[in-house]
Amino acid sequence: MKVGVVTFPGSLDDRDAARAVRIVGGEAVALWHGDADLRGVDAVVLPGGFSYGDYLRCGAIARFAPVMTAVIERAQQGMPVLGICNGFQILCESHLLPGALIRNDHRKFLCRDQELVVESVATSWTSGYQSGQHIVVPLKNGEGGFVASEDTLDRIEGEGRVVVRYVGDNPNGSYRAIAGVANERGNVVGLMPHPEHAVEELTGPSTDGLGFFSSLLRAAVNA
Amino acid sequence: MAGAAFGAPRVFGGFRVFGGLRALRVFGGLRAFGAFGALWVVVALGPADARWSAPVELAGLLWGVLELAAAVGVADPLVVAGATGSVVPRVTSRPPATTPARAAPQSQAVTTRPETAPRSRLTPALPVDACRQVARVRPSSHGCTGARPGRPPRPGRVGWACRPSPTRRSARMARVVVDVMLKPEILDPQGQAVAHALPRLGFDGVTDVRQGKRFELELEGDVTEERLAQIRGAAETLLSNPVIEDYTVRVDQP
Repeated sequence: MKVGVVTFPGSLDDRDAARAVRIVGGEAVALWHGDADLRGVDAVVLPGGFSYGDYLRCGAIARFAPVMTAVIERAQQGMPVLGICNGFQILCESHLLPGALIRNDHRKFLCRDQELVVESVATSWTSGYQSGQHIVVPLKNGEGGFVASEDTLDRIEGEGRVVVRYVGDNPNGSYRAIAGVANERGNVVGLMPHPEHAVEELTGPSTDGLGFFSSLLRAAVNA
Repeated sequence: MAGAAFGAPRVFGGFRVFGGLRALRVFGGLRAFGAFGALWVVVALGPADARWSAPVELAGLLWGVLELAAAVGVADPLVVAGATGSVVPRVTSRPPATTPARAAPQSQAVTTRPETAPRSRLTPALPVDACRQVARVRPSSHGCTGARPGRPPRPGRVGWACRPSPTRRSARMARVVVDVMLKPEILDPQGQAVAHALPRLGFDGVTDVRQGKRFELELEGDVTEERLAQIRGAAETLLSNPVIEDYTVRVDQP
């Protein structure tokens, strides 16, 4: 299975994301922000970082990169898309996901290993987890506060679209401690924590993040 | 002068030709200098050739007479030649008689290059305002039109040294301001930080602060309803995120 990893100007975690794809047996394909061509990939990962220097709003300018036109179109047709950190911000700016990300309520950059609970396993990226499973992956951001209107929050909670939620102290003031959400179809998922940094014992706090990538490949094998 | 490849009359006449052409600023200063300087070197220092020597000497003689006439104030070789813009002080275009010790043509050529003349010597002759009616003045000294005192400027002329500036601002500029604010229900950590800092600095009585963004869009031409609609589209698409922000569009300078 070919999984594209987009590199924007300012992306940081594209190599880690590609490595995570390879560890679970997928073929990682490097995609360039300036190319509208998705090179025949079956899924796309939008990695973390600071695309376009986070100017204007995080992800606001990356959302209009040529590659995003193709990503948005294919995502609406059902192609799996995972946005991590800055990728999550880009997906929210693209309106593929509800809500938006704002500055942490404590106004400081935060980097720590974060415990999460997986609440929805009905997505392309979390089907390998068990509902209610606790995982630990790194969290590192300055603008990770998930916000949305009360109506929107009620709706996504009601539709079971909260994918992961923070456990313990709310690390960034996210409304209802939401760490990641999915679209209606479940093929587009965004989250602030970094599962691609938790794929090897040597470098991560756990290998809990592998589930995001293995879920995708297992679903492809079973399909 | 037959057989005198470097004969005095030939050099002298060639110099006259060159000196006169130097003054023809219509050909464009340095470039003309280079072209005619090279031509003169070929003609004056090249092998003797009867086909060339006659016209060269004739033209040199003519220019010599004109230069002499200019020196005594009877006529101006530039006027006679139809050139309009002389900005070179006359002292630099004198015949070599004024600098007998430096009779070598090359050294004279250097002293007569307009581009090397100090700007302070040229400034009084430059009708800067007249020039700016047409275009921005180049930073180097140049032969802009109407340089001669008593002659009316020719504002329509645009030469290599006097062309319209691409950065010239249009007369009609309008400004539209787009203000973007977080929706009331969205937390504003930056505004809170400012609100907490104010009492520390002695500014009391502020109960809340909300921080937003202001975009100033400079437009060329008039603000029409159609263009305002475009700007509203930009405000909704890029300048703000309607999920968490509201925006207002207003015309600041119609």
